[in-house]
Amino acid sequence: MSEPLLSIESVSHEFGARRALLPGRRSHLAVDDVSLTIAAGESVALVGESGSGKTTLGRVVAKLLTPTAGTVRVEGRDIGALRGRDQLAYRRTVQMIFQNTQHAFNPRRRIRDILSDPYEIHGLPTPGGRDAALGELLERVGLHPSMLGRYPHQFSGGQRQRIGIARALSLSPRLIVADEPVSALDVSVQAQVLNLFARLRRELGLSLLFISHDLRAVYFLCERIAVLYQGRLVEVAPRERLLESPLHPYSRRLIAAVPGLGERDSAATGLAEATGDAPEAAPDRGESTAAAVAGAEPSPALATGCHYAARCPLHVRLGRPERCLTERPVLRTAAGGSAVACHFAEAAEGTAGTPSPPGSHVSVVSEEVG
Amino acid sequence: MTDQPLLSVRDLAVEFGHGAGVSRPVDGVGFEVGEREIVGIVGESGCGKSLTLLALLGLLPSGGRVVDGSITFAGRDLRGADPSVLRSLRGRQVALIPSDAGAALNPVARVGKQLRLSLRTHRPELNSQQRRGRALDALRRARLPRPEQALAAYPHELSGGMQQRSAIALGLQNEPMLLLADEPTTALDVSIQAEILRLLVQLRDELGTAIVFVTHDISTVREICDRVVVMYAGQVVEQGGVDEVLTAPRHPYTAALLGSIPPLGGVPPEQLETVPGMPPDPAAWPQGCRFHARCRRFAELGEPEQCTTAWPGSAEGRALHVACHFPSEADRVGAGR
Repeated sequence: MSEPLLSIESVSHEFGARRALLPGRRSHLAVDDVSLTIAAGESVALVGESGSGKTTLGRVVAKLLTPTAGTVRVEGRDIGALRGRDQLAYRRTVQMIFQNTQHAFNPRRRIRDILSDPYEIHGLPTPGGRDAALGELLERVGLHPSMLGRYPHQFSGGQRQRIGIARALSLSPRLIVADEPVSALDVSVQAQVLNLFARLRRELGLSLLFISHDLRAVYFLCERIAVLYQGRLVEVAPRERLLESPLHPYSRRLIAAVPGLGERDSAATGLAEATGDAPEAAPDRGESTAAAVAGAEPSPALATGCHYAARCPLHVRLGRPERCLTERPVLRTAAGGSAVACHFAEAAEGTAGTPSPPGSHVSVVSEEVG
Repeated sequence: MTDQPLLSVRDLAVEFGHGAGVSRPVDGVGFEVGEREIVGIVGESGCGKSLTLLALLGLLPSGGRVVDGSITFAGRDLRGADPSVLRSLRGRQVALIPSDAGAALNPVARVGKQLRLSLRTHRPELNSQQRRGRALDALRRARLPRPEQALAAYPHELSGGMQQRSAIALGLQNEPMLLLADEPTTALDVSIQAEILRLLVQLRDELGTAIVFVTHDISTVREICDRVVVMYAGQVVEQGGVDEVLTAPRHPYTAALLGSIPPLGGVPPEQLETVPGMPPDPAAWPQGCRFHARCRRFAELGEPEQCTTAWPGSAEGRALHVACHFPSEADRVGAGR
């Protein structure tokens, strides 16, 4: 394979690292030694729960944050070293789309002004006049050029997200970092925006780093899925591979949590499956947060060994092996193009209740007659 | 079923505004909720699903009023009920779980205090020790880990999932007969969402509480609901058992909603099915079937006149029902009313 478009090399980001030297202050390691590449034209998803560090990693890639360790390379160049004119040029290569469309735009400026900014800042000529270029941009994302004179609040959430996409596209970037771009939208509008992403990828050959906690959206749009848990990558795999044979216990738990998966003849079956898969998940999750309330819990990312061990059903099933608590699992290559950070990933195969086969809408004949 | 349902809503209509500016965001909604039943109400933003819930509680925002229909809860008429009657029902027999628990809880009062306050209002016969015990019990039931600590915590000290559990405990502690859950999981992560959904089912099983579950995400309905009511533009377009409606939807809108869920597994489609256009404006509902302008079947059938002139009809109660002039064939016959 040729050189990847984006290459994240052992990147860590620690919030409050300097202040932590003062007594009573603690830092938070949001991203912990993450390595990931994205090829040109490829779309990679970053999934995980809130607080897993996915937004932080996205911001590092967009150079909105400088990582405390590691390097990010785009087209082979270390973006940390870029200054001035080079940095400006870099920003043309990588653009970001934000989750909250209400806060992503200045409410007092018209769409025309908002979309003109990138051209102004980068001093780009607009052949055929600014309005023509902007109108074309709006059409590309499925809006009408006549909307240029409107203010952000005059649009629905889905339309505003389209404007966010238009703004990101205006500089013809090669990579777009999209941070939960559809999670604030209605399901039906979500589908429209996801279709837009899919179309733009086909038409423009864009690369995408798609950050989301919604596995369905991710599966639709991205060829590879990277699972992040509390700052560390636990599994990176092609989408079919991740869904059909997830190797990491946490990936399995994520998949089991997707609503509408699995058969249901009584109301709770699908969820009961999820429980069966991760019996301790609920109490343990709560425990760590409750402990955080009490201020006693050390940051799990700082724990030696595997940071998932405390919640891991596999760890329990194997009789709590010592290795999980002492040795940090590295992300290693596994079968089928996967990479997994678990000492005992292979032990899980076969024994674990693999999630129900793909094909989300299982037909169930019901006895209930109105 | 011949026995009286716990909740029966018929022809409910809600209006806002006056004169020429009048709008009817809820227009002829009817459904029933039986005891121990979980009924899902799904639809896009602005379809009137949340207003329907608020109308049940007599909590419509100012300017809103119920102009038609009836609401019967446990044999009592709620529409004409005195505000004091409604007040005694709310929180005691019917409780609301908000979508954003973080915003619904009082930020400057500890969780325990909020729970006890609600108990003091609704259960004046309890002494303070009993109140504390009951609050603790409710938190336990809501599966809050370390409930003693949660009692003493302020809402901001809890995670989103724990806040939602606290809000559920707040709704539950008076052992209501009916829980109204307004998008209880939309603000949460997928894994936490699954836990909260599971909790709702467990609570129904343990306490026998009936639940009305309002959501825009039809895939969560499949997880927990017994029956589903699909709303569009202030009206019910389809309702019936979850398995019937979600596996063989008869209304094109229901089918489109299901088609817009990205499939998990297999080769992803090039495009997801979407509903073109935007939901209509409540101040000017379209004539005839309100969905016709966005309806694929309407276009396929060569824009039949019926669809633009006549509302395909409404039905109430728990019957399997579809409001479409040209519904898809149901898989089985005899499931109708």
